[in-house]
Amino acid sequence: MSRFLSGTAILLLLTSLVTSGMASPLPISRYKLDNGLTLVVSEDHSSPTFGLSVVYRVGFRLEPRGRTGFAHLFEHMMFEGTPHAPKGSFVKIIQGGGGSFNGSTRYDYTNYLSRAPVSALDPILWLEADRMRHLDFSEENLDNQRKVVKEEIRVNVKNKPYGLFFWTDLAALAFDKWENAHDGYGSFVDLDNARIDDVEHFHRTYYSPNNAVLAIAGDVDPEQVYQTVKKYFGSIPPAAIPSLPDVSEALNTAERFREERDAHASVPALAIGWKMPSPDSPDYYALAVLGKLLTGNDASLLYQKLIKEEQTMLSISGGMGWPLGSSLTFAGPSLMVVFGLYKPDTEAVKSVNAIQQVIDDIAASGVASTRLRSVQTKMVADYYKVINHKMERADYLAIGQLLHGDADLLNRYPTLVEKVTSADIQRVAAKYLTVANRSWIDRKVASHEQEKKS
Amino acid sequence: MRLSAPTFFLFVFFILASSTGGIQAQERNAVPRDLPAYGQDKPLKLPHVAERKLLNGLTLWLVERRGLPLVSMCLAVRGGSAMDPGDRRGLSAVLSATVSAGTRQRSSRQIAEELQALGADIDVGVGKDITYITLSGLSSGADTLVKILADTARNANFPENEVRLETENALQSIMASRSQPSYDLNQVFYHQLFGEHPYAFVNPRPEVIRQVSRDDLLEAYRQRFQPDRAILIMAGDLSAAEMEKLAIRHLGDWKSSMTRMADIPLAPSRADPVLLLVDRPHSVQSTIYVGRPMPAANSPDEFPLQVANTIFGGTFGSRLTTNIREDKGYTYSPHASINDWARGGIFNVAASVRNEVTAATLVEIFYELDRLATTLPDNDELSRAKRYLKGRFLLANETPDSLTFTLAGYWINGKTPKDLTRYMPAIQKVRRRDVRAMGRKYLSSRKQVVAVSGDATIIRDQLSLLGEVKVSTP
Repeated sequence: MSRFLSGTAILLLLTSLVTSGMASPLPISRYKLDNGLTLVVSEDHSSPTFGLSVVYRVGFRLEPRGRTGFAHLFEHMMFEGTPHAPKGSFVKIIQGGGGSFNGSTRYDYTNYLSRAPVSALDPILWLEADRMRHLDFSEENLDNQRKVVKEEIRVNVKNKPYGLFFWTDLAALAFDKWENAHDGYGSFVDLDNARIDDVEHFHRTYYSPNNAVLAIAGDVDPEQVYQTVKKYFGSIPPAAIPSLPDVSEALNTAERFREERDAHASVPALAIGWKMPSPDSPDYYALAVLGKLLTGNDASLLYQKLIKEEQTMLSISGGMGWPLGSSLTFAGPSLMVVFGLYKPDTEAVKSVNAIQQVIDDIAASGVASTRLRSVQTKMVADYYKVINHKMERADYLAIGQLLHGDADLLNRYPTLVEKVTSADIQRVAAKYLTVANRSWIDRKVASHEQEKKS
Repeated sequence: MRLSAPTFFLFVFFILASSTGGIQAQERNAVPRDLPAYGQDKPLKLPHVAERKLLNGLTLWLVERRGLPLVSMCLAVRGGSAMDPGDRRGLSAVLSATVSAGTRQRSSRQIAEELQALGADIDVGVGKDITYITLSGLSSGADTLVKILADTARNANFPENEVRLETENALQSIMASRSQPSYDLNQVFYHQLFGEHPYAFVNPRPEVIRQVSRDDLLEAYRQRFQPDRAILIMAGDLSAAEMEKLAIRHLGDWKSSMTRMADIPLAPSRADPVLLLVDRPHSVQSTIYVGRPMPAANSPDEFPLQVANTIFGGTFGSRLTTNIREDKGYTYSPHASINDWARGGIFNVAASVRNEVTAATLVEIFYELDRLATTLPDNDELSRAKRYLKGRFLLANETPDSLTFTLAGYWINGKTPKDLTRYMPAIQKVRRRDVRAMGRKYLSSRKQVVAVSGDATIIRDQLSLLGEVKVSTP
């Protein structure tokens, strides 16, 4: 029930204002209920709306063995009703209040997001408390969502060119620990094996107030929100949370490679992943900046090299934690990813070597200070563009608080990015983005069906 | 208006995003006992849009929005893909990829690097009736941002090597997107809806793209990019007076060539309701489209249609999603939408389903369409749909970026900033019988074109239960 305030964050931020100009720190009020639920509120009265995020400290890394895909399947179950709010009432109340919602499952958390006009705040808080307390654990719901999830996997993976291989297959290749390497979408066999007991057990274990953070950004009064949250969430009992496994991994010492065939694609692709440390590493933000130097946009080094100069590739995306997150959304190891389509008349290895050459040059001689400065400015501006949306702001506040005990990370982030030096970039490029720590996949075209057609 | 992104590959970033539950018949009216009521709607803070016109005919819509140190701007011109010459359909795709690829003063790399230093992105896009350049970055760099925006709008010079590169990339991207289930389906569906009208165009042909020359691009660019066919919209952490000053500084001496361009004719308002099958061997899913042409923007039916579509299939809680996703588990993400452009519009239901339930899904779609046309929605359903649309409107205009986007759509469709204030009351006025009337007038199943992409050997028999199946190739 304490309210903790942050003075240091504001001081630290002042240094960053010099370069990125004049953003005042986000106002942040934090509260803790007796049952362990943390509430973070950031006032913003620019429009009569709010964004809300409830984040639970459970994701792919904590799902049970033999139950790949379970964290995500469970996320679907959270929308299927409770003993008090039958199936359908959730969507009816949020959309009927003019709002929208979503949920997503990630490596270290699962989040439930909504945004709406402020007139819908109380009912939405009530619904979130209700499903934190209990769910409608029925076989019928589980069966139905199992089908929906399988359909989702067919749409995103099985029936689609590239099928997210740059996420699932690359992680499986690069990592050794099951927590980091297994497919978060899950196998159909494991999905079929999921039982309603698993659902109940998962809810009881991880969906507890002391394993969650609730954040709200918008046209609200923090004290008033705190009173409402106490009323709806205060009586939900806390649970004993299992201790977190050690998911850290050493860097790889020999290159890993895999060739795949894609049944749907008509242009081949490649994906490279280098193992990255956890956010507590002093190298972490330097690596985030390096990721943007390499793959940020049209001005990035790899775009200029591979697409404009060498012209062996057609597209380049990537960065730290791509495509499922960013430097702000991990509590454990991740990958620095480079993904792109390459021209069918070239060999993938040619592009991979050119990419490595760009990196080796950085490791040898660093980057020009003007380039570094402008990438940092771009990262901070992009970050502002994201948190300009209240729902995203609430989400980052909740994730920062949940993973690092530190919602003020949002106010410090610009400084963390801007204090990275060319020497830092050089050091981390040499240490992490090596051939030995590199895993890559050459995804070739399997069928010639399309060529015959044209 | 439908703005489409420039040519690049769209991958799904919001994977694992999930959605929600529906309503079983017996529970339709169940409301949790302890659920608190909605609060009072707070008064809207609609942005003040300063409207100006420069002597050269350039329209300015300027919105001061204090907050994070950001500014968004969009320079839009009349003329999009529907304006491409008949023998150069798809030219706009290359145009949008090359407008910011170099000017008389700056190379593409200089543009990218200058913008990066200001924390900005440039994006050129084309819709059916519009071509636009958007920039958003730190407001401290607004002067340079407007300068670069003006440079690309006035002095793009389409360097040969950039044109070659983009043409080649466009060709590869056509090849890559051909393998998407929706590629051929879109072509067949739009052709059935719009016939020979330019709105039927969706997929550029490789042989056309290969022919696009620097001269073609320059000609289209000069026709479209004229101050008296253009608007500059700015929104962000800057005063309107400051914005106007920057517009005058960098765009005040932009001269119009006063050339006239022919108008696009009105698109067809009806299409033959046929059942088309696009064969996609080995497909593990069928992709279903159901739809028809609709009225152009500013139709008197605009608001009741939005409400009717919301009830039918526009939201997760809609009848269609409840039926085929929640009750039956046929599909992950069915969706229905109504879009309007300056000269026509479209109603489209889309769903990807597993092969064996293809015909069964169509039966449910037809049922829900006809239910809308024959019975009145209940009061609760109607008020939910209205609150949903009003809330979505509020949320969609929350940031400078999104507001700029909304206003660009208003402008090309002949609306004014005042229409921002008309939206909520117009939605509020829609009655139950207006919804049924829209169902009768436009949405009953017998008025719809059906196109399905899937493995013909598996789904043809099922589909023939519903009518004569025409196998179609794009």
